[in-house]
Amino acid sequence: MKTNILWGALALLVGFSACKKEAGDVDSALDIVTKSYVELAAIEQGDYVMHIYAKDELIVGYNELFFGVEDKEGELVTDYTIHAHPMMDMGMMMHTTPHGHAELINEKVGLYQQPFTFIMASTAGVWNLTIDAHIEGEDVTFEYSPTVVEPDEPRLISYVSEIDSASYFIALTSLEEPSIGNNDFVVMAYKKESMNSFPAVEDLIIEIEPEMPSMGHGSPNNVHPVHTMHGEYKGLVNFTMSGYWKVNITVFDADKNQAKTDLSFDITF
Amino acid sequence: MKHIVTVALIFISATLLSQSKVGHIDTLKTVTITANKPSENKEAAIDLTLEKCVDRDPSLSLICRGGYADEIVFRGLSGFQTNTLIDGMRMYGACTDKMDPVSSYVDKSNLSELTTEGTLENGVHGLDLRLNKGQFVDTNTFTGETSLSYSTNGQGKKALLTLSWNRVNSWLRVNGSYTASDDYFDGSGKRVEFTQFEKYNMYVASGFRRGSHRFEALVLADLAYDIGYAALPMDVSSAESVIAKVQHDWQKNTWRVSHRLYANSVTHVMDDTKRPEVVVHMDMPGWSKTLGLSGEVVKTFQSSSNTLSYELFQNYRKAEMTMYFPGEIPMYMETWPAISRQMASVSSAYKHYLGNWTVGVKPSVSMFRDILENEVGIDQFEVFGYDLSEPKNGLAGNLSVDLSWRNGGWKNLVTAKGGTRGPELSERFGFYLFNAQDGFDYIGNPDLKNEAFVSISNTLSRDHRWFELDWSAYAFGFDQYMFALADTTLSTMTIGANGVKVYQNTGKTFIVGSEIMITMLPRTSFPFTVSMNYRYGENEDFGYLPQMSPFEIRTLNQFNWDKMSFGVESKYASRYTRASTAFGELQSNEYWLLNMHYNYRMALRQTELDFQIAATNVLNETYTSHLNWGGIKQRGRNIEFRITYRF
Repeated sequence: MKTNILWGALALLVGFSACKKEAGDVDSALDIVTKSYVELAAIEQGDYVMHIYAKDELIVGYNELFFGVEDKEGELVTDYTIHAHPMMDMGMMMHTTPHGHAELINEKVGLYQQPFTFIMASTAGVWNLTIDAHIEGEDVTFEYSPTVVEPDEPRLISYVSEIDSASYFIALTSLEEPSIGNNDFVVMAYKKESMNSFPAVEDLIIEIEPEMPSMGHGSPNNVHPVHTMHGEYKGLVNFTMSGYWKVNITVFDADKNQAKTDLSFDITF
Repeated sequence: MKHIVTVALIFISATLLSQSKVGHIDTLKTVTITANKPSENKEAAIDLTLEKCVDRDPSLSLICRGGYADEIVFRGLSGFQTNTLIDGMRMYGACTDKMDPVSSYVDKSNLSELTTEGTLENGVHGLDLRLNKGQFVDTNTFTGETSLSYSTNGQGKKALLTLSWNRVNSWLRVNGSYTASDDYFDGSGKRVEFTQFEKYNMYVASGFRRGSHRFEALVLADLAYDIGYAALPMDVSSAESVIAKVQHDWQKNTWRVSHRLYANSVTHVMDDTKRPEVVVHMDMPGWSKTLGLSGEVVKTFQSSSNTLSYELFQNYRKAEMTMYFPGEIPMYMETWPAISRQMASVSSAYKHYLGNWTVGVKPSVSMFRDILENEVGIDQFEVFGYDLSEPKNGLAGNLSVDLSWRNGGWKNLVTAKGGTRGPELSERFGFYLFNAQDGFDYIGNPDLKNEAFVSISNTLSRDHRWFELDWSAYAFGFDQYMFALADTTLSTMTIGANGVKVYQNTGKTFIVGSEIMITMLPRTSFPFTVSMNYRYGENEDFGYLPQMSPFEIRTLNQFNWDKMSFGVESKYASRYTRASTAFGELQSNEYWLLNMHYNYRMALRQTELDFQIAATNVLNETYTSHLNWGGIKQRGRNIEFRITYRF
């Protein structure tokens, strides 16, 4: 009896979903949650389909990818864990890129979020994302080759430290919609330890100074970004007008020895 | 401080002296601009522009930024301290750089007089430019005036037509003029570039009465184009305004009730496309719109009168700045973020007549509220740590007491005033307003406190068969004086600016001065007038006050015959060394000007033809006043020819 009801319910659901797919006017739970996102890919592997989303196209710099799983019938799967590992294949060599851990951000639909800071565009080689998933007791690996493009204005800067000669990366995570007035200025900082290791750096001192190069003026009352957690630095930048701004950055180590100056992000709005 | 005490003592003794001698005036002090009757026009006729009329009054001075739109200053008070009204209407210029004081939106032919006792509500002083009106007459009349004039210096041209219908129960006045001028030349023959302008002015006013009711309606449009501002880095491509007003008066027995509803709108567009070297091209339009309702109830008793007045108005202002740098997206900001100021005032005036004495007491209180109308303005002030998402409220009040005495030809009037003034919108919300005078960017201060003031003035007048005398002495004292001081922690916005100034409540400030005007009438047809004025102002934080005129003497010899009149006028201004360095003023040398005019009237039946030649700066002096921005040289010798036909 119980199974009958279950099957019945399932059939009803399938019927509904089939119906909605034809009619196209009712969205699945996953669709509703990811409505404001762009679906980058839907990868089929075994009995499952991995849906990959982002807020926009993937750029060189900081990105957040979102993952959701459905079975082949389009049924939502929520009981799973994943970790995606990025790798750049440049032919002659391969390297990874700074990335964080996948975090379950919506339990109801099983939506994971994982940050990636791509350090180069797909024009330099092929990006591969190996997504190791553990779904309903089963290990499933999905492979995805994302396309990473250069944004109109760079959102990632790299430099070689004057102190330890290592390569560092600073990715801008805020100012997606800059406006006149107060704007959060948030960056992530990473160090390249090896081809396979780009850990977050948590003890930098970062100073910022915005300017309008064509006018030769800055703005008052900016706040230098300070470390919050996991390599994220949070500050405040003020824009007194719209137009082309340059936020100049100087990086120091924890003892205030200058690691690099003359770095900058261009912000145009 | 020592200074203040000394000057105060001198002033008090002067006041006491004049009081003990005599005193009183109970009429408003006015400057006649266009007299309605030709007989009154003899003096006014020599002043071909509003500026010239104003310049003849020793209590007023002019700030010049080009060949157009001089700003009228009363006794050294700033433009923010003075409420300049047009026929009782609040009106505010739309230019953040004060290129368009409201007096620039009228033509001399629109005006009958300028009173220097206008409304005090939320101000230290009031000026009112009264518009010309018609009259209710016993027999219907139709009169008119048309004139053409030409000026040699700058090829100035003016054409004017005024038509006036006066009837028993109605009147109509229509007036239009066109004025244009090229660049003028200074005394050395050098062209003062960017002093040209072109202006169209149209004015229609009408009134009618029924029983004890009187109605009046007027529309005034003033459209000026291609206006050069030699002292500023930009010119103005258009300055357009429209003013409309309806008024109702009711009078019965000892009661009089008036209400006025008005609206005015100003659009002001700056232009840098004619300048040879522009670092970055900018568009800077500004808008100012005012809607107001005011009125009063007057009850007259046997020996006193009571007036209760109210005023409600809203002024909306916005000024944009868009900068175009080649190869970049335009930069945009709002130098006046879209703001509305709403103000409500009530005042009551009580006058008591006791023989030769009149006592007047007038308290008033104003509430105002400033609302930032868009996100940009709120965001811009976030940069300085202000949260302006909620309206800013303010309260200001003042009390004026006057005592006048009249006996025979003697009059004396003592006026004491005190109160507070809330900040003007530029002082509160200006955002990097570039001031070409001192080369600083000015930033408003939303937290400004009210400025407090006290003032006392005494005017002694004597009307005699042989002479007329007017002598005034006055003093203003301020605390929390609003003034912008340099803030070295801020970086400039304007390319090449000297720094940034932020409005602040500075310390104690005083202005003292005296004016005297004597007209000798050896024979009524040969009046000889001498006037002098002296002014001194100082602030305890930044020294000499700006906009103080130097010591000046004016003389006017007038010879009136039957159909002819001839006049010689001179003006001497002393060397001025107390220029306000804090405001970027320059010292100026003494100068002496000589003007002459000749007038011939020819009667043609009921009509009249009037030929006029007015020569100004006859000696072709090359001069500037420290009141002029950027030390620009003023007009050299100019001869204006005018022909007027009155019918």
